[in-house]
Amino acid sequence: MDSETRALFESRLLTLAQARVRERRLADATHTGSAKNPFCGDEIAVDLRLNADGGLEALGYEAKACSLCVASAELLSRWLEDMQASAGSVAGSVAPETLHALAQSVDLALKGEKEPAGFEALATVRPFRARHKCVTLPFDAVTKALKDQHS
Amino acid sequence: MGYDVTAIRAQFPTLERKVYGDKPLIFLDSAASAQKPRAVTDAMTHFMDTTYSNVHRGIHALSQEATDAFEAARGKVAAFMNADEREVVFTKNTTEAINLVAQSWGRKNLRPGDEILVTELEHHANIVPWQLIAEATGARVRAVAVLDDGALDMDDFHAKLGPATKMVAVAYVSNVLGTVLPVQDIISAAHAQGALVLLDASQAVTHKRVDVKALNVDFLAWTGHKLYGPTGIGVLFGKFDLLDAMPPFLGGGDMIDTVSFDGSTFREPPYRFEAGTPAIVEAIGLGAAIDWVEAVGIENIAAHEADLLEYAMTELSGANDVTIFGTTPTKVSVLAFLLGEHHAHDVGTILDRTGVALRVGQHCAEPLHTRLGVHSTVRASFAAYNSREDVDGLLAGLSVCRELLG
Ligand SMILES: Cc1ncc(COP(=O)(O)O)c(C=O)c1O
Repeated sequence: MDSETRALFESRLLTLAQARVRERRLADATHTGSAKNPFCGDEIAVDLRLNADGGLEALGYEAKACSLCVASAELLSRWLEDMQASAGSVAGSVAPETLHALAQSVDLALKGEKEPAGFEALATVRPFRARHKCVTLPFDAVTKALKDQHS
Repeated sequence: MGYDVTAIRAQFPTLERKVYGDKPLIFLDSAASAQKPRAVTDAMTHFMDTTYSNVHRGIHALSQEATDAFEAARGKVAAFMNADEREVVFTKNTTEAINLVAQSWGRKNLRPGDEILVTELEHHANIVPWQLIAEATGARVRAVAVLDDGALDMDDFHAKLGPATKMVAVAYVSNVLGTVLPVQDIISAAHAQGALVLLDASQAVTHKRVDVKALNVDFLAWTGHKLYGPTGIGVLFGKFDLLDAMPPFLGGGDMIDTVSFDGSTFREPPYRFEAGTPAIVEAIGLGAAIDWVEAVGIENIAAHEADLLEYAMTELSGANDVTIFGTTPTKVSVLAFLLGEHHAHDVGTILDRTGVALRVGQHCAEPLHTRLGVHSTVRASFAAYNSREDVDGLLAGLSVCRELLG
């Protein structure tokens, strides 16, 4: 088997996907969005909790999807935790614009630019164009969630 | 002489190519779209190089020759399924053919409370057009259940077929399970209730002889690109009297008798349904594809594919980690399966890198996958040009999947 395929299927992505440690729904979500890949039927729902100032406090997801999609959602959840822990965030929350920017950088990384910090493992997906959508599906759900406002 | 698959393969230039550097292409995705023999591309090129012109509207020599060639292609299509030429409408594909019936026949004939019966195994192309017209007319779409082995639940069919049923629209052959439906029984029962029948024969014409007169079917739709022909050309068969009573689907040039600002009158079928310049070159290509299929013999192709299917089914069922979907005795060479618990896309990605091209996902049949309780499947399909070595390639690719996916 060629090295690209080996790298993909031996990458950390699959370990992350198997563990699925961050998969959970948020009981107190303020925003929810889901995305479906009509090609394969994979689905992911993303819950967000935004505070009164619009800052993102928590993210949960539930996926009926392939390992790459789950791994991407795991990386995203962990990224949020890291951001919250870092000095850049105000009172433990992250601005939605940062999330939009992240979605864009992940998209660009798949097309050949440098991966954003924390998403280096995605480099192994780059040669597999038919699988890019698997990685971006959680971000599509986030975008939809940000447009949604629970009443 | 027996079936010479080597000689057949030699007529398909694409099959000679390699992928990912040095991997010979093993093309097992013909149910999505088949490769083209040189006879088809040659016929299209020759027509464009020598005879090309618009049809039905010119006084000059080329236009008349082009019209003759175009209408000769219609004649080949008609003969291929034992129809009359005036019952053959050229469309873009199956999808357009079914939409044509739904919009034209449906708009005229469906009333609130009427029912359109489809099945759980339909391609979206035979579900969504009916939903659209049902919404517009107040009719209702109902789906006949599928049994675990992929057969249609005929008890459920008879239970759902009733006086409210106005149209029974079903696949002749499932594009996922390969199941051949008992269409003769379906047609007789539907007619006894006064309902019409449309068969989606997209996956049937490629694997068996289809005879619209013997079937006594009302409408039958299929697409050229799966029958070794080009894309952009499909076929709607309709019984002449039914077509003749239907209003146009699209309006424009070629389909009219007279046009004035007081109103227009329309030509007889099939021209009433062929608005605008048709896919002329593609029709010529489809005619050549039919010539090619008839020269090899559809029955010979079917027997060869049945041998490949049996070989693949035997080998795959021997592996205890493979689940096959669709196991009825009436099954053509469309083989959906899953490898262990692995996601179809992971399997497809690895197979692709071994040179095996097949389809993964829901194959435009989401309700069927819901019914089967699976998310997606891997689908291998075998055509005239596939060999036992191709099946061996698939089996070897699956071993690589096992190694990498654990
Ligand atoms: C059973 C069936 N119906 C309809 C279609 C749609 O064919 P087309 O996309 O050419 O309209 C297909 C092909 O994918 C099919 O397999």
